[in-house]
Amino acid sequence: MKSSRAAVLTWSLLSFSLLAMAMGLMTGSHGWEWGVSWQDPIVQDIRLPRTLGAWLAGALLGLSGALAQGLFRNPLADPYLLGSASGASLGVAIALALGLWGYAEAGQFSFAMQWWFRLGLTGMAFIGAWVAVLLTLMLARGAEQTLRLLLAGVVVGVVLGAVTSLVTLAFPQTLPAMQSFLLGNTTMLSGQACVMLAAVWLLCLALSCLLSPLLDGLRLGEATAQSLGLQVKPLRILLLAVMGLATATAVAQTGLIAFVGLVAPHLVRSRLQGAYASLLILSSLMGGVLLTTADVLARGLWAPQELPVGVLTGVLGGGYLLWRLHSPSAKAM
Amino acid sequence: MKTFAIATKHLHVSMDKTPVLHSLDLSIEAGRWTCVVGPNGAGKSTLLKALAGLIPSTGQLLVLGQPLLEMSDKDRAKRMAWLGQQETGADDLSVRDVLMLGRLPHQSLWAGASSQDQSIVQAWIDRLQLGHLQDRSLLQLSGGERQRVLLGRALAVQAPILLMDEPIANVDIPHQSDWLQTVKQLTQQQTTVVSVLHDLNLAMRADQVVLLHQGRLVIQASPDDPLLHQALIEVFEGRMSIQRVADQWVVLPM
Repeated sequence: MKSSRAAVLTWSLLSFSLLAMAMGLMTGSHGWEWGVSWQDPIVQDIRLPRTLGAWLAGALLGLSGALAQGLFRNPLADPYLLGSASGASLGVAIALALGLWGYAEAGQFSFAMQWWFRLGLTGMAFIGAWVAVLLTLMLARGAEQTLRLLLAGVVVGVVLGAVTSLVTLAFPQTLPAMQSFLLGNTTMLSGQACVMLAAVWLLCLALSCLLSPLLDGLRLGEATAQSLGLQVKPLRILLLAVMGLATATAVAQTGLIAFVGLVAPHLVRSRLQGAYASLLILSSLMGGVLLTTADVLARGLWAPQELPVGVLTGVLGGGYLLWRLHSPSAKAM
Repeated sequence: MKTFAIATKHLHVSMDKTPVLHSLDLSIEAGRWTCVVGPNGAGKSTLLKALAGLIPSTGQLLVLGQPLLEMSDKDRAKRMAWLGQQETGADDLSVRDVLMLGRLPHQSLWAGASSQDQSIVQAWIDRLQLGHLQDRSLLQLSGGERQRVLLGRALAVQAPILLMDEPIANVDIPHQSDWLQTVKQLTQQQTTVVSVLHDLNLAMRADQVVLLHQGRLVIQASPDDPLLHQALIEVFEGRMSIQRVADQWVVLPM
């Protein structure tokens, strides 16, 4: 019964993904257009990478949220609440301050250099995300105490956010790029970004599924996981690295997009329980659907005015969580 | 000749540089039920964790004749199943999924549950009479049912040694009776059971009792041994009496 429910959910999410992507291809600067030509360079060069990139970034955030919630045995853990997104932002701010963005904008990069630019940005975001998670874990003295972990995550997020503002102030030339980054934006997504997002997504998904027995074992506590023969410490570090890479890659390409990582696993768990491997895959698909849909809405709702997608996910995700907190099933969260 | 499932010599455990267990020499007989008792802070749970290899210890610790430190994590997990005190979490998992966690030591990272794992889990579901609950989540179960499921998770490991820390805390009398029945059946099948229990009346039903006080072994003896009774009364400050009622030892507070 459960496997059929998982199959139905998988097919539904894949269908919704295709539908949302088709809508993305039909959404332009003047809102929704029903008759679009595949040959149109605007569709091929702008809307396609943007839509595909939004789905991949959402899939990475959904995966990273499911990983965070499993690793910390905490349904409120997500890359943002643990400070990793703030760390990734700081990494990106430093990269921009070092001049990467200016060069890219001025078109001084060759094709190969564009790749290095993307890799550099993602690398800095990855380092930032990791430093932030380590700081959070140090301040919380481990991951077992839920309240302490979340408070430490909030503190790290606020402090690193302040440092990011300081870096932006010290290097005012990065201000426009950082503003767009902090609001969460899919306009920066190119074909190269899509290739990078897809490669990282496949890698992170494969590694997460491979290591998912640890997440299953951890559900009954660290000691139980250890008693089941799982090597908790090295596997946890590996999964933290995967979570950091997934968050950093998404953040480096699309900026700060809140709540997707938190909401996607919740939506999946409200429909299906079971082994973590399926939860990871479905949360990832759900994240893709959520961000692509949000992106289509952000582009089409007030066309020609475009909303930053991060603002929309913030409002919708916050509303959803409030509803869940007050729903009768809140205890299961 | 007696064979020992677990044997320790000069077992020593420190937590945050503070000694918790001091030079313990223990021999846990194979295929018997041994119960660890003692006042709060005696080191009972620490001892169980050390025996399970979940915390570092010094001294000699042999499991089924082999030094614990020489075993791989998987081997250790296949030989000793562990049920922790008040295991929490996994509320959204179904009863069947929780029992399936017990099969993790037998699975590689690359392969999921085999048909053998499925049939072993099904056998424990039937044996523990969990069939009508198997698709419910842990959150939907009563305290007693939940403990039975968690016991099922430990039993699904199919290890020759079962370590349990307060497995029937907050469980009503019928469920305690079920638990005693299960333990009796396990020992009849040559499974070694080691449990920590607060309830001395239940502990006196074990084959052997290990009494700890302030991290030291006071005595290891049969419940019928008068020296054990004397030691228990001394360690618990003379505030109880032990009497024979209906062919069982009963501990009464005074």
